Amino acid sequence: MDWWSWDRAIEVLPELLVAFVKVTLVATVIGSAIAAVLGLIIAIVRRTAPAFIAAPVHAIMEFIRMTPIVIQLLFVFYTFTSVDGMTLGVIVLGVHYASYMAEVYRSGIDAVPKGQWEAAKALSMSPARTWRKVVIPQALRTTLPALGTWVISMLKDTPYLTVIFVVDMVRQAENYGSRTFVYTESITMAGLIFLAASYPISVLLRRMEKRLATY
Amino acid sequence: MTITSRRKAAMFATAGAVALGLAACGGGGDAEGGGTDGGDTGGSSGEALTLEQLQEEGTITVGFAGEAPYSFEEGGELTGATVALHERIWNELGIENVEGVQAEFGQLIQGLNAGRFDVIAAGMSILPERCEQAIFSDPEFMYTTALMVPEGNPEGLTDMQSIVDSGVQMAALTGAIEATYATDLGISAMEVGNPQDGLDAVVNGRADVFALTGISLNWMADNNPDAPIEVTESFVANIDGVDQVGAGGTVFRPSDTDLRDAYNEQLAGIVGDEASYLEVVGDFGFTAEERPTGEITTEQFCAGDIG
Repeated sequence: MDWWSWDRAIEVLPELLVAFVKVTLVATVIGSAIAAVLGLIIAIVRRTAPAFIAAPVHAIMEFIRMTPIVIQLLFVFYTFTSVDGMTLGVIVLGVHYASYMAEVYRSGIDAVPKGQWEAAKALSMSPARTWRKVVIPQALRTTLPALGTWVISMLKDTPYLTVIFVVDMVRQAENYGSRTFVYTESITMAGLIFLAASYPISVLLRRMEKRLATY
Repeated sequence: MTITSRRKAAMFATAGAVALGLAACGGGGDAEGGGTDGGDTGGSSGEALTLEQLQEEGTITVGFAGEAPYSFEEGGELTGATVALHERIWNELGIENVEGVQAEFGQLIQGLNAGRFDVIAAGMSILPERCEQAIFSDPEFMYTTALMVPEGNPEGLTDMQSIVDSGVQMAALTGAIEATYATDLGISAMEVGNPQDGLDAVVNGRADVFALTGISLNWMADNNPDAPIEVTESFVANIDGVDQVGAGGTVFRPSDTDLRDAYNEQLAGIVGDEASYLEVVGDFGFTAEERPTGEITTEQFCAGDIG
């Protein structure tokens, strides 16, 4: 038995790529969008809303951040039995990572110098305008690279979706293995596809970091 | 009441409320488990899924674990021995499409009862613990043991006793029933982590024989035509004078007895005739040895009342 066969590696590639596009990519893109928007909302709510709203939001966020994503997936999957696994999976990924991203946004907002807030006030800008035109643009500058790191992390968390019956790329690779009794090539190829997907993102992030650095 | 004790009381109240909330969530989940998954699946609790409903939808959704040769996907197509059986039976019952939802093997019954699919087609062993959670069809095949040996079977092995007598090196899959047989018979078998390693052990001479279910070995041999090995005829292992039998079947929700009865009726026609049985499942490494003879019923397997 050869320990590596290029024929098998090439044979398994199409089905892996299909699973990558249909599950891994879709889940990461939509999940990231949910996480980026929801995370920002959470960060702003925690900063501006009265305590009786901010405190529960904070508590829920901590709860999500401190429990494993697998548990959350299973819990939601067996609670909302009429929604399909992929939809629930994307939502859970998005909400889970929103709780991480909210912390990133918070540090970005905290990093905006106090003088900026005071200047906005002195110019009698409304709070909404201050957020939109002064604080968020500056906060995003410092947070974007860190957010990107979480996107890579989410990409690598997509195999967890298999626990709620979604056939992602890794499960597809295992399927090839259980069909042929050879796992080496399919699992390796799946790993290489992950690498090929996350490496460009990290290069992009490093570039962005350099361009956006102000201080 | 001091401040501390009041705070404690409040904490207990909160904890209680959270617990109640969770309980309510759980209850709600059960009650609303209508499973209207795009109209694919039937009700998960209470209401039984009927044949008429499925005929109207034209599709039945089966849960599978992606295990060859029982039920798996190849080139995006659902295939395998149990799938072939299901396609034949449901088509005859007027349901055109058989669609699959893949799940972790251990999660199949849970998924079935949550309404994620209608039935389980995974060649699942009929075991007493499983019968408590779901109901099984009549046996679809018997789990028999076979031996993978070097081409030409130099040691002339035929069954477990022949391994004991010839004193050859045996390999078994970790956790598989054959490993237990070896222990019971006093054979010191080497354990392999997956079937491929077992095949490799026989090919490179580290083991003289690899024992596993006949179904798996036949499938492996078919998929490794170049390997210098062969698979002996399947047999029922006999340990201390007791035949070790096991059977696999389709799993239904406890409420769907009518559906199971309809399935059983069709199944009997196929299983009852060797030629038609092999016509349906023969392509997947199943032989006449795997065909249930009706000696042991699902009820007996469920009761653990065998051997």
